[in-house]
Amino acid sequence: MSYSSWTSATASTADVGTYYGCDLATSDCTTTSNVHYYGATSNTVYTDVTDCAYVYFDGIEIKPWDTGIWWSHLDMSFNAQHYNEMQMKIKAAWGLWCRNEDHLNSMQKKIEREWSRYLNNEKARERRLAQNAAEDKAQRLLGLMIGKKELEVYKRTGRIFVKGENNTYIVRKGSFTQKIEDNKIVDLCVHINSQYKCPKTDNVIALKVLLENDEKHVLKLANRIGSSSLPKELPLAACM
Amino acid sequence: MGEMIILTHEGDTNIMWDPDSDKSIINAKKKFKDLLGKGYKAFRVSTKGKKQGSFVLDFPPHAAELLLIPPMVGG
Repeated sequence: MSYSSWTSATASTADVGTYYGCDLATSDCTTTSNVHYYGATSNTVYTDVTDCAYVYFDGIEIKPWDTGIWWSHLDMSFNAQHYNEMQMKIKAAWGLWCRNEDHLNSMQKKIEREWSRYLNNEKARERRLAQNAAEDKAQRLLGLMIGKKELEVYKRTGRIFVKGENNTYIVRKGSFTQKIEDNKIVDLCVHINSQYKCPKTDNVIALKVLLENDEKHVLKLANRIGSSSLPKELPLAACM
Repeated sequence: MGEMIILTHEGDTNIMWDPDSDKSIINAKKKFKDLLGKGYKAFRVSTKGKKQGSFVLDFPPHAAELLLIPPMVGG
């Protein structure tokens, strides 16, 4: 999608000003008189602009053919029906009427802000989806290493027991690694370099493999954060 | 087939190689060296639930599975 496709057309049937629209659609449908929009935004309830009985803009009723600013913003999928009955699937649409250039400029700025917010939300949503997919993948790999049953415990607790050459550890998802000593638990901060942006469970996998095979290396890297007395009962963790 | 499991921001990505194919080995070895050059550590592992790790510095063409871990840091 791109925001560069601003087009203008005269709303000839209504002749209430200039319509500036940007339809981020699979098809061009910027001429208002021919397009029926169905949808709702936070402050706007609308049906078809030219045929509607009531249109609300920020709580103000705008009657058909009223001169005024029409502003709409959609960030969801909806169907638009073209005059020739062709159905179009629209991802998002922005539209407005303006009385003059000043109005237009101010509204375009508003649209720019909305569009930027929309894109940021989309990017954030895509990032979240990608992160979740990566985490799922990491958990599947851990499952191959520790087995289904232990993976379930890990999913519940976010903890896994790891035996190094000399010590036992509780590796925690998204938290400090704990080294179990005779009478205390020592919190260690060591993790995959954050520039790699690995999912949290990849960090658990990395620490498991490193502690099992190169414990000294991990201890050399780790910063000792603090310690607490050993509880009577250790918390539940996978691979206990 | 050999398999390199690389921990990345997308979760693990896998590179396979055929131990009977020189070309396949060369490609896998190149990737292996690239990653070690970036600070990755390589281990022979088994994802079958058994501990079978060993730290490797040279590409082992006949290894079944290698796990490549990005550089670790203290926090």
